[in-house]
Parts: sequence; C-alpha cells; structure tokens
Amino acid sequence: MASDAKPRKANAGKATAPEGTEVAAEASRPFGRLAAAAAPYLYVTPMVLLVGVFLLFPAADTIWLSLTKWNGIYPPTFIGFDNYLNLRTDPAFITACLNTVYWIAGLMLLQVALGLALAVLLNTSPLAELYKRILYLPAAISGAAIGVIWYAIFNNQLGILNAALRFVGLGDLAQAWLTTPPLNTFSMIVAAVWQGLGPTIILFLVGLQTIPRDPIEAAQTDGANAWQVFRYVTLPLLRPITVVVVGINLINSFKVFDIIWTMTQGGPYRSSETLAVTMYRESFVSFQFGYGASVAMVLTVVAFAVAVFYIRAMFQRLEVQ
Amino acid sequence: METLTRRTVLKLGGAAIIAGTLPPWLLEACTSGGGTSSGASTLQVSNDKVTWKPWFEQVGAASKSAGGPSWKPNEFADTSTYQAAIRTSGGSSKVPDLFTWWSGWLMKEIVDAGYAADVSSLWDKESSAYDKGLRDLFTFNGKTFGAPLYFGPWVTLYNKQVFDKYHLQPPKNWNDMQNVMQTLKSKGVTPLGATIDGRWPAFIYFETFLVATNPDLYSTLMAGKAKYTDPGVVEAMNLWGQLIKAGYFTDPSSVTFGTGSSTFLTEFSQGRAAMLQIGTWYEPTITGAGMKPGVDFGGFIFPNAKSGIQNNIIIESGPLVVAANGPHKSDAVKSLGWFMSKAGQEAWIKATAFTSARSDVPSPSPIDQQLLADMKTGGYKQINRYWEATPHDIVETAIDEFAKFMLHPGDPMPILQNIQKKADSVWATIK
Repeated sequence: MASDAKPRKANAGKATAPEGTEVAAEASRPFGRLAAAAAPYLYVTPMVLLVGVFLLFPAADTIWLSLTKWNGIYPPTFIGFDNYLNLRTDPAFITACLNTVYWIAGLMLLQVALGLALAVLLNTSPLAELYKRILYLPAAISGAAIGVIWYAIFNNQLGILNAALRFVGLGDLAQAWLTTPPLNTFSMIVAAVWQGLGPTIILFLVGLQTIPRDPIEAAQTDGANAWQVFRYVTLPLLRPITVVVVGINLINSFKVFDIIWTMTQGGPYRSSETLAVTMYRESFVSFQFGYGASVAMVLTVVAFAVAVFYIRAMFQRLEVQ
Repeated sequence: METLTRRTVLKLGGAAIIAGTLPPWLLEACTSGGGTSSGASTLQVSNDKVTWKPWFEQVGAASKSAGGPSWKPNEFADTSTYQAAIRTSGGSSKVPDLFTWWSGWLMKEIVDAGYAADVSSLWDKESSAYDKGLRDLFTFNGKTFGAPLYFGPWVTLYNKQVFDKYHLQPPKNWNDMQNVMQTLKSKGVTPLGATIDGRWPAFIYFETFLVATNPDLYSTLMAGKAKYTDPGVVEAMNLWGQLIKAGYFTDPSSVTFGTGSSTFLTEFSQGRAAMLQIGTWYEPTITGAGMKPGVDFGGFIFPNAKSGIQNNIIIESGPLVVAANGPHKSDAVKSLGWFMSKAGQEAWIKATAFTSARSDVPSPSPIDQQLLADMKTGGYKQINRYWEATPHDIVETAIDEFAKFMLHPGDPMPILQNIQKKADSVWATIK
C-alpha cells in the first residue's frame, strides 16, 4: 500500500505544476524530449501493428498472390494479369457475378422492404414486443444452422415444403428448389431473409420511434391519408436509419457464404455460387490460390466501390436535407 | 537464417491449423518430442475421416501392445481444410508423423514436393502378401510412398431380399443386367442409387459405363492420351443418359450417400431402391443400418456392357503416408511396417471390417470374400478410380459437368467439350 501511495503523490505534484515549468524541464533533458515526441506514436503502435499484420499485409499479399499461379505446394509462379484475364471468360465466375447481383437485389427487396413494412405494422401493434422477440430469434442462430434447417425444408424429395404442397393438393407446385438454377439462389435468399429480418425490423423500429409526432400530426391535420403520411413524412424522416440498414444488407449480400455452403455448396454444377463462394472454392477446394485471390480482389474492389458510392450519395442527400 | 517468405508464413499457418485442432495432451507430446530417448511413444496420425477415430485408436493400442508406439488420431472434419493443412505444413517439421492421403495424382503432388517418405523397403519385405497392382498405386519413379490404409473394389451392392422377391440373380452379363433393371423398374423399385450430394459421387456412373464399354479408352483418357469428345466416351455417356431417362436411377438431387449423411440407406433397406455402385468400404455403413452382409445384401461386379472386353474392376485405395519431414520419421516408418504386417492388418481389419488388402488376412464380410474370389477366378484387371486416376483439376471440373448431365440427361457433347477444354489446359501444363 505504501509503495502505491508514493507514485500517486508524485503524479499529483506533476498535475499541479505550472505547464511551462514541466515543458521546460522536459526540454532540458534530451531523453525527455525524445520520449515526448515519441509518445503519440507509441500509443498508436499497437493498432498500427494489428492492422498491419492482420489487414494490410494479407491484403498486399493477396494482391501479389492474384498475379501468380500457386497450388500451395510448389513455389508460386508469376503470371501477370492472366488470372484476371481468365476471369472474363470463366462461366463459373460470370454465374457467380450474376448470383451476387441476385443476392443484392433479393436482400434489398425482401429484407429491407419487408423489414420496413413489418416494422411499420409492429410500431402500432399492442403485440409488438412479442413479435419483435419471435422475429429476432432466427438472428441468434448461426448461418450454418440456418442452412441445415432450410435444406430440410427445400429438399426435393424429403423436404417439408414439397411434402406440405403435396399434402394440400398443390403437388404441381412442388419444385426442385435447390437444384434448379436460379431458383436455388432465390430459395437460399429466402432462408437468409428469414434470418436477417429480425435485426432489420428492430433497426427500423428504433428509427420509427425517434420520429417526432408533430410533422405526422400536422400532415394528418392537413388531410393526408395513412399512405401519404408514410410516403411523404415517415419515409423521409427514416432516411438516416435506412442508410444504415441498406448499407448493412449491401455488405452482407457481398459476403454471404455460410448459408450457401451448407445448403448447396454452390452447386449443382456451380450454379448457385456467389463471388465469396467462388473465391473459397477456387482457393480451398481446387487449390488454385492465385485464381482464388483474383476473385477475392474483384470482390473487394466491387464491394468497396459500391459501399463508398452508396454512402457518399446517401450522406450528400442527408446534407442537402 | 530463413527469411520470412509467404511460404514460411503459410507453413507456420498450416502448422497452427494442425496445432489448433490438437488436444492439449497431444500438443504437449508433440512439442516435447512425444517420446523417450529410445523413440516416440506416441505418433500422431492426421486424417479427414472423423468416424474412423476409434479404429485408429484400436490399431494404435495394438501397435503399443506389440512393443511399438501408440497412435493418436487427429481428425479434420473438412477435407479441404485437411488438405490445406497438409499442403502447407508438409515441408516443415510441424507435419504429423503419419497422415492419410489419396493415391494417383493427388499423391504425386506430395511425392514431388518431398512430403512423403520412401517406404519401398516395407513393400519389398511384404511383397508376397500384397497385389503388385496395389503397390503400383503408390509408386512413383520406382519408389513406393505409403501403405494401403483401405482397399475397396468398386462393386454393385444389392438388396438380396428384393432380388429374391422378384426371382432375380446377380447379373453375369449385360443382358442379365438389363433384365434386372427392367424387372425392378416394372415392380416400382428404383434399380440404382445415384446422387450429386457432396459433388464427388457424380463421377461414379461415368467411370462405370466407360469401363464397361471401353476400358482401354478409360485408361488412355485418364492419362491424357484421349479426349473426352472421342466417340467411345460419347457412347458411354449416351448409354448412361438412356438409363437415366428410363428412370433407372434415384433422383440425384434428393438422395444422399457416400462419406456423409445417407438418406439412400432408407430407400435401400426398405426395398424402394435395389442397387448401388460404390466401394466395398460402404458395406459397414449398410451393416450399421441393420442389414446383414451376405443375408440382407450382397455384391457383384458390374458386368461389361459389350462382349469381348477384358474383365475389369475399379478399385480405390488410399495410402497411409509417413511424413518425410515429420518429427519421428524413423519410428513412423517402423510403425507403418508393423501396420503392413500380418499382425497389423489383422488388428486393422478386425477394427474396421474393411476388405482386406493382404492376401493372408481374410476379409470378415462374406460379400468381400466372394468378390475377391471372383476377381481372382475371373482374372479381373484392377483399374484405379476416376478420382485418383487423372489430374484433380480435371476431376473438379468434370464432377460438376457430370452432375449437370445427371440432372439434364440430354446431348452429352457440350458437357464433354467443357471437360475437354479444362483437360487441354491442365495437360498443357503437365506435359
């Protein structure tokens, strides 16, 4: 205890000393000057090291790897931009690009639009708390488990969905949900929406509850009907939270992997791969690490460009408002 | 001093993957050398065969009883992760002492990279007990790298109860086979099991029909000396397509079997599907579903679809490899020698109930005993399975194309052209 007290006393003394006196004392000692100059850098060093080791080095290495041919055993061979040139004519890559667009559109239309609609309905419902909890439950399940659950639902012969359709006399509507492209991608989007809907609703509900009552009441006084109030008052006031929700779903649609891998592994015949799945498949199934890295670079650049473009556009609009 | 290259980092990463999956006691054993000054007391055996863990433990215990080191299995649930771990750690001393692998082109990669130890002397010692064709699967440039962990002829397993019910006999020729399939179909039983689940099973009937119609072409195709678009390959695909269209196969998108889950077993055991072309290693799985080998189910060698063709049988054998850079290489070689011996194989076959690769160790399954006798009397030539027989880059493309054909059995030419395009690019880098 006694040893603790001394430094505290010393620190207290330093804290109360005139500022100029301390600086002068520090400046009079070369080591002190150096330490003072280095202090800010020392504070940021841990984070710089972490970012460097776990982000910048792998990113730079991936760029280099994408310019090579490497199977993980023999030394990599530099092949310039051949991997990128081959991507242009690779049908699996083209299919993956198209499927990624389906995922973006699907999550935007279903998850965001449906999430907003349900949030508006729940906002005034007396059972909102109960529904919120129920709808949020799937978000607590891992993506892989979601894939397993929905595989059991969509399986052609043994799946619950086809069995239910046949049971109610709608057997003609039974489909090979997971083996018919692009139906298999749409089926998996439904599974992903089931998982992601809860958090989207919660975010929109938070947004709805922060909207002041005055403009809504003013619109109603002016004779606006429910749709007009929603369209011209609620929706514009929800824009800040909508920016966040759309941004999250945009990023999620680029990186979706676990649900696809557990439900179809990107098949059959690579028909349901997205860019993220193709990247994994080329790298860790086919052991074409260079080619996989080139897919990773394309995915990163496209996702980054879309995210930056979207965020800048949205914030410009917000500033205008 | 070694500079920090990407390969070094990835080697360390691979070692970290392996280390990350090791239980603490095994990690301690590895880092401390794992044994006494006179040799290792424990060898780590890495593999991607999760359900085989008790078998490795049993044979390791038998090894210990015989005065050798015990085996500690280290399983990877995912084959891709396992391959990546061995590929990236194989050149370092962090590689496990023994590891399972695949024969053929996948094995050639690790042999060329210097990851596998030469165990030719073990084969020389046991040469009379093993088929030379089996040794050839693990031999490169005159040296042999690895011992057979499993040996599985690919045969047609069939439900005996269903065959008896409809007075059918295992077919001896193609006419018999057609009769069996027609009869089963007419009785509402799906003749043959097929699936695309897990991807790899898509090649099963391609190799089956090509070997049954033109085995020489199969061999030259695997070696890159023929093309997928050759008339013989098209003929085999057309035969396969006709049988798919006739409804002789299960819906490949609904049924599963193989090394993962197996919904086919329900179809098979309840008599809704009658036959399955697969390795004999699948027998214990069927036995596990309550069917008795030789009583409830049997096996026969798929008949040639043309007359005048040499008898052939597709075989699959995966090696157990000693890591050339492993921490206890000499102990691992000795242990593998014991594993190949009669005592070692007796312990292994007793644990697994697999088909025995050693001539003086009988296979426990009456089906295997009969099949091995048929192979001997029929003079069957052993042909390596498609998965191992040709470069894996081609296989990866082909299985997706075969899956497409199984779902949409139309004109095979576009599918074969796609595979040939890949084959051309792969062989161009090899030759």
